[in-house]
Amino acid sequence: MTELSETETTHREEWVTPMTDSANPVGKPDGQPRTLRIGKILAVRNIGAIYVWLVIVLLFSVISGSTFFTSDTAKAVLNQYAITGIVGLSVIVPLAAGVYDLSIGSIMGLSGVLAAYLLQHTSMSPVVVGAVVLLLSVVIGLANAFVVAGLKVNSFIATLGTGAILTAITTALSGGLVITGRIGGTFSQLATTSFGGIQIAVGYMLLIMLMLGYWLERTQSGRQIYATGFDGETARLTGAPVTRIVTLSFVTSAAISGFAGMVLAAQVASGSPDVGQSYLIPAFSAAFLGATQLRGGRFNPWGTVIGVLLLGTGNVGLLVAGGPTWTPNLFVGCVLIAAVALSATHEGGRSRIRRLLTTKVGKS
Amino acid sequence: MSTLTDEKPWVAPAPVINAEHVSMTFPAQRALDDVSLQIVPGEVHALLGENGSGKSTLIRILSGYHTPDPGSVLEIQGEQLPFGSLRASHAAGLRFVHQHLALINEFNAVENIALDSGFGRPKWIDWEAQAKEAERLLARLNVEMDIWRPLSEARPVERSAVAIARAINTDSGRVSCVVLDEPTSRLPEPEVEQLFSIIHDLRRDGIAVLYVTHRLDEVTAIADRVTVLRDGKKRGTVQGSDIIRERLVELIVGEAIAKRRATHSLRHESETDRCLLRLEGFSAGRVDDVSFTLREGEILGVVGLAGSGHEDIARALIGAIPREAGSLWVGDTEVRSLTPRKAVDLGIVLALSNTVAGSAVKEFSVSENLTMSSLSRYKLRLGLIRRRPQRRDARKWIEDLDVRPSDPDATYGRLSGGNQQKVILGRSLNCNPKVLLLENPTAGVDVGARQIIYQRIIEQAKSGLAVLICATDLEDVTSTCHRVLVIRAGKVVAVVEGDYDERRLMSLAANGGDGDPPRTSQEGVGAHD
Repeated sequence: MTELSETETTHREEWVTPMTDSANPVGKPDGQPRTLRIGKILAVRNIGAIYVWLVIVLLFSVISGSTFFTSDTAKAVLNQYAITGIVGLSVIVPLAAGVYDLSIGSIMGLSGVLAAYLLQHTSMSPVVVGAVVLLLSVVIGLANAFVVAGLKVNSFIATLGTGAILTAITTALSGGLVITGRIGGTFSQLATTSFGGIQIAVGYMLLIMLMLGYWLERTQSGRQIYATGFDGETARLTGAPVTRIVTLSFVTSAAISGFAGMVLAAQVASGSPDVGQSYLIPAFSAAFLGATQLRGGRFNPWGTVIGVLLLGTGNVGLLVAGGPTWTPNLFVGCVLIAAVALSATHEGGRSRIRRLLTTKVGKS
Repeated sequence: MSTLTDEKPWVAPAPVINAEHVSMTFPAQRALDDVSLQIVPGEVHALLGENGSGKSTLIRILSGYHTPDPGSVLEIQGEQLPFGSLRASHAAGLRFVHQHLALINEFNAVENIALDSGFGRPKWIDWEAQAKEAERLLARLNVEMDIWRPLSEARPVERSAVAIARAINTDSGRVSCVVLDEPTSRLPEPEVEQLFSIIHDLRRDGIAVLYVTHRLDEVTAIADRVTVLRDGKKRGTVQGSDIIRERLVELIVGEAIAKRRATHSLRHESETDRCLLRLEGFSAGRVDDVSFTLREGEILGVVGLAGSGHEDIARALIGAIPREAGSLWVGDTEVRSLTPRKAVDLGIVLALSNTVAGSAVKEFSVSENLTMSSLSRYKLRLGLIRRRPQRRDARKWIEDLDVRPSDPDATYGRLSGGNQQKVILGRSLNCNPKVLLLENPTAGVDVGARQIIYQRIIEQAKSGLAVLICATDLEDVTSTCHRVLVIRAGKVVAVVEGDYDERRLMSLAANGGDGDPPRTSQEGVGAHD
């Protein structure tokens, strides 16, 4: 009896301290056997969205047969959802820093209309127009940061407010009309350049994904963004420049969504004041879905792109299968709720999202 | 009703709780191993052990949350308790007051107590009757408080009283045993006495109290009997005059460690004369006109009763609490404005207790937490940070501080309190600081981890680090400091040096003078008859 319990105690200690056996030469990386690591990477809770995506592909391949499972469908998904992907990537930086940026839709609208307006009414070259629009986006980001970090307004409310103001400016600028003059030329190449049927916007999305990925994971400011989002007080007390980080995150989201607005205007060859808002929900859906993937509860660019591809494949599949035009919205809504519910069961993710929904952020 | 006194030999009455051969096996560990325990009416029975010793598991079995292994016997007043049923445990008269009290702070005492009894029978709430009930229950505990004020405005001990009053509310059936889980973890020192008198009142009424804690001083002060668990096994039950600190430590940590501790004097006395930090007339937050110097290699203690302002000094010294007056020198240069960022650049680092907000990022891994305030050291071209040296440093601290589990990728939030505290200390030391500021470095930390933390602090001081420890737990100071500032009402009332003990510090903190008995609180709670 005594012997039995003795061995069990020893067994338990070994379990608690895996380091002792990983210290020997045959040691496994990080105290975990290789099979366990691969299992962890392939686990449903790590890359569940990829499994769901595969199921969707399989489902539509069965339903729609040869009309769905083609390279044209793949290209359509990529081309149509590249801009959603860029906007989705733009929101993960503020989300990772613990703040919402709901003004991105309005920024897209304003940047598209402003680009079209400048092209029509001035003789600026498309390159100069692009630079001016990006500069204005950065200024908008700074304004958002001022309201949140300076005036201490909850980011949800603050960016809802600035978004409304930006929409007003956009409408005033365009007179509520779609601007189409002189946008079709050189400027449209910003979006219409394509390689083997894949538009350049897909390249933008992948480039921004890589840049954000390296920034958030491999730099000091990136790590401080996550620290600020998870626990602003700890970040502050350990010397992170919290106000600067919140500002940086708003400037990033504004600049990327401003860029996305221009690409969109170039793609449809017009500056339309209310086109940006329709990207808001898919972008947040992709970001929240992405947060449940790969990095255990953290908003990350890789997961976001997976999320966008999942949304795109589902929507295109529904339309190919002959679904009515309201199905994409239904699908996106379901994905958003499912993603947040999923991350609520995800450890870390739960407190993460609860905090986003309850606290006033941007305390300096 | 049976009362226990030290003189008479203890005769066991019929136990309220009779647990025999209780074991609990989780997939990867044996959390409880053949534990037997009897708790009798009208006794305060302390359950003592380090984090992970099995205390929580035993409580969860009693509450019906866990189902123990087959063969375990658990009888409440002679009747077998059905396992795994919260309802059955409640019906048997077991009541639980958890560490976090489970109160709604925006509600007042009446509402909080009414919550549990379901607001009485009728459809419309009879608030007058509810108020009477609340008053009656609180009166039973000899507590006088404003029952209509939201609990957020009440004193911590009043909140505890409401939680206990709610637990002993007989509306929901007879009460045989109240389980208090770490009841003092959120109480400031002077209020602990008042909680004790509430517990005495429960005992006088013939209710058994199971008092779960890892604080030895409380056990010696209040327990009739003490059962010690270690690694899921019962290491002994001691009673009456056998409840001595040294004996309990031996049972908690095992004889080997206890002996090592006894032969190893931790008090450190060597320091050079180079002054690293100097304050003159410094005021910030509750700190009022304080002056002192901190020398290289010195460990300076700052103590006071909770609320005296001693805790604010550490935060004020990194600029987290704005300075109102006075001057501050770091080395030979005067620092006029200070922010946490600037403090890190100056080599002044703050390590908070793992129990408070702002101490560490729960969602980060151990490795991310260890390196988060020293990331600039790993910078490469383009601002990228190198991962390999980061991991190497993380592993170094994990090994040096014996963090368990030793996986650098483990999520910080899942570690035990002691291991979290080690990570916080490691993070601070990884900045290569000149001055280390500690605020309650062992709150919620078990005895084993405590020793490691003390030893590392002393080692670092021997190699030149200046350390300031702001502590409510006097053991932090007596184990490490040569010189101690005693703070009362924000001011330094005494500087104690060389040979001193906890008793002396306590009386200084309470009265500002030597020898007098500690001040007793005049407020309403706990007026014991």
